[in-house]
Amino acid sequence: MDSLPLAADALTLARWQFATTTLYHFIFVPLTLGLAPVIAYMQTKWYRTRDESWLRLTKFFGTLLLINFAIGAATGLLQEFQFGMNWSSYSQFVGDVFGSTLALEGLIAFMLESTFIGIWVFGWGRLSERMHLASIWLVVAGTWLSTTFILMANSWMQNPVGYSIDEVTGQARMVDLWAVLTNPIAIWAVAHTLLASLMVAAFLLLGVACWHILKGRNVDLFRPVVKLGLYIAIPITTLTLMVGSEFGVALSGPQPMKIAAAEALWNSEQPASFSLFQIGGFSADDPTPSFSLDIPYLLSFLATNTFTGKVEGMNQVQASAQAKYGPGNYIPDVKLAYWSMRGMAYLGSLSMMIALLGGFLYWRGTLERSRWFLKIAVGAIALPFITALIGWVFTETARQPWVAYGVLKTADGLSQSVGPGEIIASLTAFMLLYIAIGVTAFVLLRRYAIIDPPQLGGDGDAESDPAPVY
Amino acid sequence: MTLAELWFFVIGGLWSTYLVLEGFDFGVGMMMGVAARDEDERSEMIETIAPVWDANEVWLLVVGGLTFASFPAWYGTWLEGAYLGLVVLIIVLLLRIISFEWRGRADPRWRGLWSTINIAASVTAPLIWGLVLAVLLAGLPVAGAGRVGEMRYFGNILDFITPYSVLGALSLAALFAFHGALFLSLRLDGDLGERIRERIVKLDARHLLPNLTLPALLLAGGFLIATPFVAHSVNARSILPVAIPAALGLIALIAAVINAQRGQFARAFGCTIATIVGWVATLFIALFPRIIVSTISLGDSVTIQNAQSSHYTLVVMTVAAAVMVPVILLYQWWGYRTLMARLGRGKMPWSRPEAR
Ligand code: HDD
Ligand code: HEM
Ligand code: HEM
Repeated sequence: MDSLPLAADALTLARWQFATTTLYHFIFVPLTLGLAPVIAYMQTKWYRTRDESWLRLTKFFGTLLLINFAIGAATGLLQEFQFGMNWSSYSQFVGDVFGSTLALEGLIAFMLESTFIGIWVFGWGRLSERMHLASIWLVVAGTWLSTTFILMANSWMQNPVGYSIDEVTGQARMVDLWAVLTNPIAIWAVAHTLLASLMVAAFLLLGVACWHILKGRNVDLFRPVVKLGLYIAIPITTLTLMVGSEFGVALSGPQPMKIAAAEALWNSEQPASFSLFQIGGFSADDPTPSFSLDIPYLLSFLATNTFTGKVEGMNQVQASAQAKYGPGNYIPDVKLAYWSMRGMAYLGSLSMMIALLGGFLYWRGTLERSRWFLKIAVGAIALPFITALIGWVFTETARQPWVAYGVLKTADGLSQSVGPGEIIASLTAFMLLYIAIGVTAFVLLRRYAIIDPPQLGGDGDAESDPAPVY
Repeated sequence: MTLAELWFFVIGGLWSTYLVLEGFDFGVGMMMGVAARDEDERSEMIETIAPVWDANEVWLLVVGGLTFASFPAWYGTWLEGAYLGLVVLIIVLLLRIISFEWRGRADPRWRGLWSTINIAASVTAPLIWGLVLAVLLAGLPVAGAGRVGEMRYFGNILDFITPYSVLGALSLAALFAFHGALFLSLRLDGDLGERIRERIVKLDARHLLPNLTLPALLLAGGFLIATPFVAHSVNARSILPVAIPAALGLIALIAAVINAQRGQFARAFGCTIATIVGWVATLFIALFPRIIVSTISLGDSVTIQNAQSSHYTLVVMTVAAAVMVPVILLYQWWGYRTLMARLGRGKMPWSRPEAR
């Protein structure tokens, strides 16, 4: 995005609205995705061992899940409609393929998760324990299926497959559902996103547990949570980084421009070195950084899995894009691409180091006494959230100017009759709403993350159910 | 019938499902505004729909997704045209979702505020849906049919306000109030339940205004009667095929009122379900074979023919819907049965007085 929304045209405004809306949705999405299986695991553990502390933890984290789920569902509602509202031309162009994946998501995933979350919440003591346990696992299945379908839709925009252009109507027509469902980009995106979501949940577990230990409250109850958090965080963080790196390799085929922009690589190099940090060098007029710190061969390795592979530069990709698609600027915002890619990778690596450090302290048996680490762990809750958001900023902005890569430009996807005034009105309203909801969500989540976990009453434990209180 | 024509009616069926299910949720919200004396009574009302409102709302997402997939030009043109209306709709639906979840959790001083939000959303949403659906028939300035992607909306939100679409809006709201009150009358006991039943039953001079059946009868009845004529004049449809579903809807509506008068609330509730289905069926049959009637010229309308997606996509969607919709209905029915239907009237088992 080049300019601020002030005095902007409808396109820029619509892009700002889309970006803020989806990013906002994705604050809550990964927590739901990651926490649901963790809670299902806790409840399973209780079901198997009858150890009541797992039941208390199920209910404790269940409440957090519910608060978060509500916002995920509410902001998701907006996602479904904004394609038609702001990107009507896009919708008419791709409905065939893109709409189908969205429809499948509704039919297969949303119904499952929303029905069974209701059943889980209100089913305590009313369903058999087995059915009740099954219902939380069905919620997990629903949310993970939802990810799969929505990322298939998104990956189709990144790497359109399985379609042909209708000569009469000019639309993209689906010709091969299987190709859409097995889009290689989608497979990486789903893996990377689900792993990132598990990271979010692991750091939440760790942070919340460390907070309680720091305050000397419920220490016995939260000790296993620290362990669980570390057991998830260490391997998952590592895997996320590895999968992310392979994701980049997979992308360099369909979207060489994105990878070149992420490295601020103007001209092809062989072998290519990886830039750790650089000042300047982000525009075609100023392609040479005034300062840079490079690691030789690393980019070749990251992008091609060989130390001497050739990595294409932006100028070369631009030339071939012009030959293919006609005149135009096919280079995204390079500075944003460079730093968002690094932001993600660096913050991801930082998370991994924190997880490893925690693992080391835990293994030494000194974690609970290392107050400095407990404090870091509380602060680190925010880290994977931020990393994941930056990941999306990279994915989506470095794809520009395309909305569907090589098929439709973002500028051509806009609704024609929605003017800047209308978008300013909606954008303002949504922003105010997001701020209000965000603040309330934070306050509520914080409150329920630091209360004492519910005690299990002898006679029915209704008051401790993670059910909404009306 | 072509596959696309089938899909047009499938979408109609899904709209009916959504409006029937979320209709009583909205109705319950409206009743919170008129029939409850305090926040505790509002809590009692919300509890009747607590486990299901979320799943009910997802039917909207299913309709939305399937419209997108099977009629991209309909989805795009319609939503673009209704932009500002939908912004309001989305805001109220969003706040409503959150109000459910947070009303009891936030500071007790804010409970009243969340109730107000829920009530306001429950009134506003049906009004907007009614407007946006009925205007498909009243007509909008759309043109460029044929080459999809050139299908354009040439108006603004004010074009959505026509006498017929306003009637559609009011009729849907009135119908939902009645529908929701019947739902509550089946679920609630005691003083509160009694008061709601009174509002459905008592029709003498003193109870004329707070009575719920009368607005439903007049407005929804008016809509059903008007539709065949509007279809005739605007959409060049002959009256009879539209009059049949309209008449059935009207009969169901009258039967609902009579049953309610007799204290047969379950039957009356069944009849309001049929009325809502009749409302949608009448509208969709009145539209057929067009989807958005164009006020520029009838030939510019968005039609089933020019808005459909490819045959391949329609086949994929047919298979998906044929497999999934029965499965969904099955597990949702199981969920309702397990959590609600066996309970009969009275306090919901998840009521927690100590939380008040
Ligand atoms: C990686 C995962 C992911 C991504 C990229 C998106 N979503 Fe999402 N969405 C979810 C993962 C998710 C979820 C985890 O499944 C949610 C969050 C909370 C919930 O209820 O389900 C959800 C909720 C949710 C809902 C509400 C469902 C309900 O009421 O139960 C809708 C309609 C959407 N989303 C639609 C979208 C659209 C149109 C997106 C594209 C712009 C999108 N989401 C991006
Ligand atoms: C929830 C995760 C997502 C986030 C955080 C996200 C973020 C973004 C951002 C930041 C942009 C702005 C790019 C720019 O304008 O420079 C964008 C654009 C876009 N994204 Fe995503 N995206 C997400 C998921 C999706 C998905 C799943 C889809 C489709 C299914 C999608 C479709 C689009 C479209 C149509 C645009 C073009 C409009 C625009 O340029 O603003 N996004 N997204
Ligand atoms: C460990 C912390 C990380 C987190 C939480 C994270 C999160 C994300 C998220 C949420 C996305 C958007 C998902 C999508 O496109 O479907 C993304 C995209 C991406 N990530 Fe990461 N990421 C991390 C680390 C990395 C690392 C270390 C690399 C590579 C070295 C990497 C490479 C990528 C690539 C190439 C994309 C772009 C995909 C696209 O354009 O479609 N990620 N990341």
